[in-house]
Amino acid sequence: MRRSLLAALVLLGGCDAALPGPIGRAGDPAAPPRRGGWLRLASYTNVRTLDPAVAFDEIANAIEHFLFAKLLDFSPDGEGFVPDLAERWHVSDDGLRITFHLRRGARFHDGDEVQARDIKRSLERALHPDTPCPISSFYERIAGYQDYVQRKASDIAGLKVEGDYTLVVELSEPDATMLSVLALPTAAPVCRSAGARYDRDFSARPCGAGPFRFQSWEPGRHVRVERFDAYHEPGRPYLDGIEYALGVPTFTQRFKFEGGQLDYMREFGEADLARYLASPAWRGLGSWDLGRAVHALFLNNEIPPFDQRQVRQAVAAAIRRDQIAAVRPGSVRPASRILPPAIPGHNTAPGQRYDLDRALALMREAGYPYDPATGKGGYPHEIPYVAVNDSFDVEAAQILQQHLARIGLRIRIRAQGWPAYLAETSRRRTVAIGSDGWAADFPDPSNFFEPLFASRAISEEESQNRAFYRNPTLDALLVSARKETDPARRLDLYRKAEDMVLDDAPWAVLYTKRWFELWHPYVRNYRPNPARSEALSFAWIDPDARAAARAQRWAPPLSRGRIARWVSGGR
Amino acid sequence: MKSGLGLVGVLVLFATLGPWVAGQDPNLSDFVRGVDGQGLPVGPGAAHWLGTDGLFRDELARLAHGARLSLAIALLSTVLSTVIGGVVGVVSGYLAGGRWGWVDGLLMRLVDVMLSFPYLLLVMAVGAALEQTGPGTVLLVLGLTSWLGTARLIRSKTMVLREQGYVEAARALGQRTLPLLLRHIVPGVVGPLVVVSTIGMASMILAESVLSYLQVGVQPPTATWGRMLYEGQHGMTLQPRLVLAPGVAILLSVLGFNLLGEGLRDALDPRQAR
Amino acid sequence: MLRRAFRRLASSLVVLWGVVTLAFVINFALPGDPARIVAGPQARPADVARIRQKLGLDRPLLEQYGRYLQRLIHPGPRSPDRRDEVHGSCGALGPLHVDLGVSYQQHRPVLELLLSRLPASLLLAAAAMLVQLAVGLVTGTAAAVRRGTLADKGVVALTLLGVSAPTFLLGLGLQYLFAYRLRWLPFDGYGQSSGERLLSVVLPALTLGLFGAAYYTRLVRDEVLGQLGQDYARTALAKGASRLRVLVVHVLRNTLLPLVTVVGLDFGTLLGGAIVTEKLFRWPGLGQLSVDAVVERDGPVILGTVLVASTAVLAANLLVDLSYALLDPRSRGRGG
Repeated sequence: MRRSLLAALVLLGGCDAALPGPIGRAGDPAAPPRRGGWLRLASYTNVRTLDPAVAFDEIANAIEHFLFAKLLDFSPDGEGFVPDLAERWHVSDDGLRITFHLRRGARFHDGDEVQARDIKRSLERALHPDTPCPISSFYERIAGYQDYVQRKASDIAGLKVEGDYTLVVELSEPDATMLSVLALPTAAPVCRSAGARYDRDFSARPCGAGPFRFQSWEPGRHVRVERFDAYHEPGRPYLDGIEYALGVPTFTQRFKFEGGQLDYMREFGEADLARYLASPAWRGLGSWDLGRAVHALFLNNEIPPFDQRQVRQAVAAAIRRDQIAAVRPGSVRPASRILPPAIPGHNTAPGQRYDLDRALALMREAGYPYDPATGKGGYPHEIPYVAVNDSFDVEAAQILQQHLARIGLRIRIRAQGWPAYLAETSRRRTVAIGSDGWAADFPDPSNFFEPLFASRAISEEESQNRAFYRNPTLDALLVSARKETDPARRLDLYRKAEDMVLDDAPWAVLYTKRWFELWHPYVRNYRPNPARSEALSFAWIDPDARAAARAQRWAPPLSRGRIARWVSGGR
Repeated sequence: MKSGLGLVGVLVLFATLGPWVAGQDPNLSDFVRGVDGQGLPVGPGAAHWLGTDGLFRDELARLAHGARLSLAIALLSTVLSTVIGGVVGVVSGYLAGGRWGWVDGLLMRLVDVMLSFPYLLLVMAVGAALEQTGPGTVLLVLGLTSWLGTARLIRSKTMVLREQGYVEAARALGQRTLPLLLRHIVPGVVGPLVVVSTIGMASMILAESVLSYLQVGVQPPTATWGRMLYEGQHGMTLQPRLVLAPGVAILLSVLGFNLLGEGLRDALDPRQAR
Repeated sequence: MLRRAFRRLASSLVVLWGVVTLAFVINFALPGDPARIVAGPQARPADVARIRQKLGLDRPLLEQYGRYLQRLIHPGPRSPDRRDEVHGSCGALGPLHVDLGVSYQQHRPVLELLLSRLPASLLLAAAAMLVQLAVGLVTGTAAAVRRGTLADKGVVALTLLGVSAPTFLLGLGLQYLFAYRLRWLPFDGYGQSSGERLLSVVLPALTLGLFGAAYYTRLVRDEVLGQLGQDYARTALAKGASRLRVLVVHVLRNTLLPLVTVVGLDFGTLLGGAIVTEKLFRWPGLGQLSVDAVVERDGPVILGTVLVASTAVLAANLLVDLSYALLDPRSRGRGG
């Protein structure tokens, strides 16, 4: 009895086994690609649907980029677009006409050629009022969209098929985000067999024109896609296929990755991530993505005391963002601006800054002087702060609470489920302060400013503008930015908008979150795409490096002898 | 019985004196002495006797304040559930089979429905619907959902008592219902109620921690043992002590009340003693 | 006997109706707008409104309730409109058809979702039951036979410890030791192959089962002690039958009846109620499904899981009750 207790204590206190190193060595970057091999990925989440018209979660998106070709794709260097099904495209000077010239001979997985009418049909299928498409209104500036969703027209008039290989998209007003939303899987052409209307069953046999064709999907286990040999880029893709395992816990992923049963990984537990980053064997491998999401707290401009600009500015100045980031070193980075690093227009200059004296002065100006020495004064009422359960928000809120107490604002945290959070914070005059955040749907600054800070995003029940921030100057600026066709000038306008918002402080920006992607060196030609994770379609595998490494590995990570030594306390 | 009393005594002592002994603010992050060289929470040491938690707050202070709250919630919700269960049980048992038998039928069907409803789902749902604002709601949720077993037990006990000669006699003599219940039935069910509620304390402490684990418990930053356990889980592989401390606290106090309850049962009902 | 069975069945159905109604009310009282959750945070009001109408959530509550009940059990198959987001595929019960609707979130019929989760829940429930029965029977009998010895006291103390440990504390401990430190077993999850699955079920089954095992140990110990004190056992012993023979042939056989009752009831509860364990081990069973549904406000799934869990409990009750009546003639006359 006593001995086993001792053994248990030794086990609990013993130090970690060293982390196994990477498999294979990085090869010559100029080496010609080699064909063959299956790439194995995993996620702890599950796929709900593979229909591009309705799926909008991260993992389904990653798989859809394997299965479906789009008109165009986001450029891997983060700026602009690269051709996919469209060889080239042209935006008219007034910004109201986009002409796409399709490449000839591109094929669907079932053999039909991809033609302009397929693109029109697929978009109409996704945007049809009977399709539960979550982002239908992203496309609302296509001419004829309103008539179509209100069932006044049987097709979208602004989608014009001119011959087999030319599609013209006419807009009701200029919209610089149109190319971005056409690059989303939602707009990807689906096979003719999918028909003209959404059908639940399509998700079980998705069919598109992407580099990989669907092989199998066992819910909760895996999705397999195999190389589509008639893919429109000759010679590509190089892999025989990709197996995406589903519902795999993060620890299991780590153990499998170590054992070479997974080739790529990005869902690390906090502790494991720290281990990999600290391990000398893995130094220099893997990469952080730039961060596509920003986290902040919103201050409701219609509810006291945050209807006063000084109080909002005081909040923004009272927060020590470094202390919030200290709770999750690595994945959480302090942020002081709205646009996260992966979004064009991201500005590296500091935005909202910590300055306690200034914050106290602002509180005094607002009529709520607070004396930190005695703890007297400040805003007289306790303010409920809404955060989302089971997320880092709740931890951040507990640190914030301490910061805000130092300027005389007492908040009471209400951690809620996502549904309650969403319902309450988007209802008018309901929540004064709470956590907020935004992950880019597509890499464009408008995707942040328009839903979060424009007055047209305010409504009684379903506001996306949770701060209920209203600024006519900003609204005008956003409209001109949307219509601006010159990319550089457009980004300048958004920079101006950002400074305006930061100063008015409907948001106190807190942090960005980023993912660490890690892959064994035998996976070649993988360049992380800032617009999405796991853009692995055109990676290839060095079979020799993988096989050699596999032979030398595959001993159980802990041998019995070692356990015996541990148990006897000999360590 | 003795060890149970001892454990409960220690627990009460810890809950009353602990916060004072620990002497620190349980909700204050210490970014200076609470962080070690690698940026992790410090382990046990002079500045923080039990180290700090994931947000660099004093673990001992949180444990002590948590004791106070966990115990208070358990006590009050047990009282609530005992009162409801006792009243429903006595009323139901007394009326069963008589002219007012349908009241009994209605109450027992209600008990059936709630018993066959998944308990945790019921608790989660009630918690979510009440928008979970504080310890008050938690004890309400616990109290309102846990009286079912008590009601059934007391009902059957009452039905037995009702048939006793002295009760029948009192009824035949025309004694009115309420005084009759108070004088003859209630004293008979107090014993089992005490036992049930002592063991109920144990299950309330467990239930509170489960609620916190499922995110429908007391709101942060307030410390309860269940919440601490939930928070410690994230860094478990790096710092098992953050799970161990609240876990052991819960284990010992539940054990204490269980021991005490069994001791009481044996003392009050010697026939069942083993 | 038959009349009794019918009466019990009818009363169970009434209770089930109460459960559905309660679930419906709770579902309605939960904060948050399901249409908004389906649409997601990036959706604009027009998208939300369209989805709300599509799900029928713009109708008055009573109408929704009526429609749900009407759809739940209806005679004959309804022409299944594949584009309708409310009707799911039907399961047939003779001439009656069961339709639990379609999940808001997963765009799949609830019945299909429930059936896909059932194997995992059954596996876990069976494995946990195996653990608690095996441990309970062996240690309980041993403790009873060695009554009063140090071993007996140890067992009694351990069982008390067992029922006092929060499920997730036990689970976390097992995960840490066997999955993280020793790597003998998977940390959590369901596994990809059936081999992996058998390994994966060990830790959650132990977590669930050890709690029950503590309880069963006490039950068996008390029951065996009671039986050993009975005249027939004493007589048999006096007649010179071996202790082992008395124990196995007489005592244990008589212990089984009360045990079967408890096992039946527990199995019903285990099937729908392993929420904490399933969450901790990310076990894709019915419990996890129901928690996710509450979190996501997926009404049809909430109602579906509640229905399954309650039906399991009620069916177990009914079966136990009826088998009791069959096995024990004395209870036949009494009402229940």
